[in-house]
Amino acid sequence: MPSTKFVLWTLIACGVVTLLSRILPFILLKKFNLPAKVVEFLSFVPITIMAALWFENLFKPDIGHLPQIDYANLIASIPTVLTAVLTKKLSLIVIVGIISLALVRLAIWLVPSTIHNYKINIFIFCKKTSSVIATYSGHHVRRFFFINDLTTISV
Amino acid sequence: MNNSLSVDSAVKDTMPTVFGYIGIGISFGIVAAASGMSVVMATLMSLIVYAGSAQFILVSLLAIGTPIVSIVLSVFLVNSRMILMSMTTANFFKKNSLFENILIGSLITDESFALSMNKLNFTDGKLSFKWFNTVNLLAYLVWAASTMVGAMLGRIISNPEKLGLDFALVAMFIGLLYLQMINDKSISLKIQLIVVAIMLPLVYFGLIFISSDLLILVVTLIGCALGVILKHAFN
Repeated sequence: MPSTKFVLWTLIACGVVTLLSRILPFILLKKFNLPAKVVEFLSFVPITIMAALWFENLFKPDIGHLPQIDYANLIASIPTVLTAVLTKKLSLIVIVGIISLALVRLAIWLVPSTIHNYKINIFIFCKKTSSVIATYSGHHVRRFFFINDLTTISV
Repeated sequence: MNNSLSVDSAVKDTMPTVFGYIGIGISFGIVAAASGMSVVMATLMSLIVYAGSAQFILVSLLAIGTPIVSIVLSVFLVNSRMILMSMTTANFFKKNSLFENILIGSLITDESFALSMNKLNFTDGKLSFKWFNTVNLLAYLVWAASTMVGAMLGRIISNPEKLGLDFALVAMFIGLLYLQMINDKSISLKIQLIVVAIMLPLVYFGLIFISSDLLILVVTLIGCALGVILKHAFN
């Protein structure tokens, strides 16, 4: 962590830009009216932003590749959606959500090999020439693997 | 949720969302403490920056010694969705004073925005300063307090994900999204369902190219544009 002074200045600068993003629209719209087209466009912000905030949590990003599915969050979403449809009570929805994910994590913890997908990268380094002479990268469903597994080592 | 815009009903309306703030606030405090921030600094960050997911990024960037300009730019980009939310909300406060507008704007969050958009469906499209400000202030104080508790706990617990608390916020968005869809009569349920369904592949494929925090802004813009097109196509 950098010096306290640096951190403090960073916080203040970040606070200012965030504050401006929040209040400038309020200040400007006090003076100007938005065209009807823009108002219509903005009427979709609530559902799109909430859907995006939810769906973003269903994936584990891997820039440059298709994201992996976050099965724990996906499975926990099912009882949460059902509770929403059946009860329409926000407090209940949140509680069911928390309990669902806790239970899913417990299940994953009990059966580690079924859902986890471990990504490993191995570099074999040559001390003499100071260069990487072989690499291996792959996905494994086990926590432990043996050197025999590395069938696709490229040299 | 009912049609009352009083301080009391604001407190009642905010209660279910408080779980989300506490869960994520504590997680943030733990992460900040684990990255070497003091309790005071972590709490100050929640008070000064007050930006949920951007704060997690801020901590990780600080920890790896990123220059201040890059940090500020990242935080701005991640939070630029606030511009959209503030623009949407500002339309309901045109008759209020500039001071009240600035106060509402300063403390608006994803959650208080989502909550207020739901509230509109019960109040004939009206929001009051009293109601919104109470929701915002409660959220702000709970967020700061949970950060402080989390940063103190950070010395004991290192893995905040274990308890399922991080799902509180996701569950809240699921709930608010559903309630918004069934209560908002200005857009037909069919169009809302299609727009939400389109968001899923947008997010999935978008994650190949853009990091998740910035992606929210991009897919929201695309989703809104598609929504407008669909609405006109069906009418």
